[in-house]
Amino acid sequence: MKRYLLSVVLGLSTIGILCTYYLYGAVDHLPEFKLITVQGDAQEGTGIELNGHYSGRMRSESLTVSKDGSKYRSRETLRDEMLSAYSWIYFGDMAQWIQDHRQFMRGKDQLEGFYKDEEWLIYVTGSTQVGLSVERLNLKTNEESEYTTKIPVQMERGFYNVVDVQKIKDKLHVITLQDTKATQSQQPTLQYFHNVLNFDDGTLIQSEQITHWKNTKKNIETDYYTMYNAGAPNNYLAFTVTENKISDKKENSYNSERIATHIYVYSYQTGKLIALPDPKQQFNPRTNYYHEGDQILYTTYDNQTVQLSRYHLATGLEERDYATLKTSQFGADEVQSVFISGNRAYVSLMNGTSPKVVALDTADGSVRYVGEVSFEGPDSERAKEMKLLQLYNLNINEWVS
Amino acid sequence: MNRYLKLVNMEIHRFRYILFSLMGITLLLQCGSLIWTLQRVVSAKEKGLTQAEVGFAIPKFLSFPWAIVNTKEWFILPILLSITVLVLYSIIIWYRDWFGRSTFIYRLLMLPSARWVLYVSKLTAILTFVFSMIAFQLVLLVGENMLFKTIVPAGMRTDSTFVEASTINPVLNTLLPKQFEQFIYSYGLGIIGVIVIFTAVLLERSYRRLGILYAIGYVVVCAAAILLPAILPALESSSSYWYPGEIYRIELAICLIVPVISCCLGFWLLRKKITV
Amino acid sequence: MIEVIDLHKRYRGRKVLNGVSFTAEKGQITCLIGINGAGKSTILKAIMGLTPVKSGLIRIDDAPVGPTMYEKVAFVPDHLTTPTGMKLSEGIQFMKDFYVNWNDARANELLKFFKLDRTERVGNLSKGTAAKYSLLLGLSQNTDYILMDEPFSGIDMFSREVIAEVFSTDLIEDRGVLLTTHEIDDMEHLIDQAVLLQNGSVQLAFDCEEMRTTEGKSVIDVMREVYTG
Repeated sequence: MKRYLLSVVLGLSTIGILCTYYLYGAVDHLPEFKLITVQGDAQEGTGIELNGHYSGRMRSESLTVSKDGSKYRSRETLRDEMLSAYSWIYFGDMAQWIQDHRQFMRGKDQLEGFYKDEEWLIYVTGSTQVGLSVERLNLKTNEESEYTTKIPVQMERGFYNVVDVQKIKDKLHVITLQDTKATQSQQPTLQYFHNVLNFDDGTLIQSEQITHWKNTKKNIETDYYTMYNAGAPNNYLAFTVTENKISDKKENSYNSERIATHIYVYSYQTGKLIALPDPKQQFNPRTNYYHEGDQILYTTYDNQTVQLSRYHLATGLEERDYATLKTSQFGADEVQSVFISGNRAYVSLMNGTSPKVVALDTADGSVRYVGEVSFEGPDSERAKEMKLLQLYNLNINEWVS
Repeated sequence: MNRYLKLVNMEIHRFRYILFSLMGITLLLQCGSLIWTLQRVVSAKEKGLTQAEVGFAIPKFLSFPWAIVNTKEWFILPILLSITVLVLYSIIIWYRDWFGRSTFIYRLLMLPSARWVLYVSKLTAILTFVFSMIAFQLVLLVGENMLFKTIVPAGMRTDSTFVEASTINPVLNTLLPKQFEQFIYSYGLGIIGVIVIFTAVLLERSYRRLGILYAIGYVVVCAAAILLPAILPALESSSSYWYPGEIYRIELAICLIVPVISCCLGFWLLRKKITV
Repeated sequence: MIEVIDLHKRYRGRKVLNGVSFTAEKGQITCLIGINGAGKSTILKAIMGLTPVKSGLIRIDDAPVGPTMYEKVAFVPDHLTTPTGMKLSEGIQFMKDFYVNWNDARANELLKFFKLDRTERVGNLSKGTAAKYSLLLGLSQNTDYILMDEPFSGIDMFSREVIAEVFSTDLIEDRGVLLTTHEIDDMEHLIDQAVLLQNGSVQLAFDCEEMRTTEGKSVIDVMREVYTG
């Protein structure tokens, strides 16, 4: 029996020590924070997340606070890492479509290539070699079908991306971003093209370049991109064109500073590209634009105020500052960030050490929800722990796996 | 069951000196480097020197995790050494019975019990060594924490949680993750690795000249199978046909199939194909 | 009875065993004779399940080979199979732990008979002493059969005498013994049956007593006929 002593002691003490570690030793005692509803509908708080870090440990701990509590980065397991792969595509509209049409949605990750109405869910991608690949799901019969249409391109192996898809009656409209032809005087640039296909069989009816932006002024770089608009039917496509002043030009890098932003809107009905009037006399870099339905919304904010403005694209009516939010309304000190998602404007405010989130209805600016980050623990620790918490990023997350 | 335990005991017994040596080296290097690091900082603080004057970090307050980080590689070195020794031993544990003046494998193969018991007993022994080393590291951390409190006067130190220290560097964080689920993943993969190595060794011992090719090929195939679901998304460039939840479940399934097949293959080789 | 039926085995492209068949009876001492490399050790290892065969059948008391069989058949290899770090007593303890058929009293007897020091380490033994120890481990099992691979090869003369003594005691009497050798000189008077191997198959198998009385030939005479004739 003495022969077995070593093995028995080794085995039992190992198990004992490991059990003790995982029952007591491995508890990290990190504080629990939660987003609680202070006013309004608690449901509005779903998906609101604040990211930041907690500095109460030797190394700062990244965390995300939501209405379900705190998620610390250091507590993530391999499973969390695997499940959050490709997370940037699995939320919002796509989350719902994946839930409803799992098989059709496989391998589709270009959000701009989707279009959905009552009858159809359509996905279009493109390349210079193949042209446009259209996959269609008939929502009533559940039938899937697809076709490819060759599109005349200016450059053989160039850049080619679908930026918007609309189905208008029996035609499929696809806006692509692609290289233009190189000419004697000009290098190829990326411009937008409007392609019209026969929806049933995909025959190409028309392919036309609709934008012709280029750098005109010295040391000013012109950048442009489309404003994301949801997969729902829309008569318009909006573009943001920014002017960036180049300073400090070196060998392989340079600094640039945005000096102007212009909004252009392309109408599918008229085929015309018009510029919207600039909202304020002075350029404000903290202006964000959103395309929701047939409106262009934009938010402007400074430390104490947030203002919502919009253009009605159908009528051309501009409503400047139709809604205003002041930090004093919520007992807060300053505005941290603002963004619009769906038909809500989300504002994160700081009240001393305590972050607040306000959700406004973009229709009329009414307050739908006010949430506050609170410390779930003993009162004696509250002040200290809230001071160690710094949340600076607000976003909306709806996961799908 | 009895014979299995006796075999495990024998394997532990044969390795005990190396195991204790590894523990001893770990204790000496970790405690030694800790004492050296702390003493020079404490004495610098007592003399009121600044960081610029001495050339090493002098924080306002010292914490045990800070101390571990500042011993730099000396703390981790014995851990890496132990890992290397244990990985090598998972191969040597078989080969030592074939080579040398006496071929113990004769005795083992002629034992009146099913041969898979040999496989499982050696596997158990390796796992016992691995887990006892990490349990030892935990105990060592507790002791080192007390050492820290002894060397650093109360006025110069600040508290920390135990788990902060046990996960403060990447090596410790992998060996002693604070989430038990992660522990299962890390050591589950490790166990699969040992099982694949065992079967590869048995392939080599059963087929001699061709055997070494079979063994290497087998390890490559198993590694590819396990890595495939994880790197699949990266391979398919931008998009992935499989949803993340599905990839996770596929990976779990593979991580179950590979060890089961390896064990079955290993058992079969021991029973039918092994040759002395 | 140990039955070996039509064993075939290839090793490194060579046909080591090419249809080997013979039987070894209980109560008899059977000797496999052949030159080095004739496959004698391989046959013993195959019987003990230590190496696979391509085809053929091995039966022990009409049952196929399996793990429980190791309580019935003991094997004494031609080299050390106990770890060199173990003491002699630890080696014996190992056998005692795993074999139901272990006869501890006999083991102690044999320790005295062979004049072995139980506290000595296996690795420090001379070739002769190691052979005695291996024999001890084999004989201390209460098995029906015992296989020995080259029991006298490379052993000094005095150790040989001691080992040969064991053969005439009751330790061997009731058992079936199968041994191999390439030097028949010392063994001739001990064995009951001889099996001559050449080119991987059995050339001749005969009862030694019979051969002596009927044809007046010794085993060596027969060997000369078969191998050189």
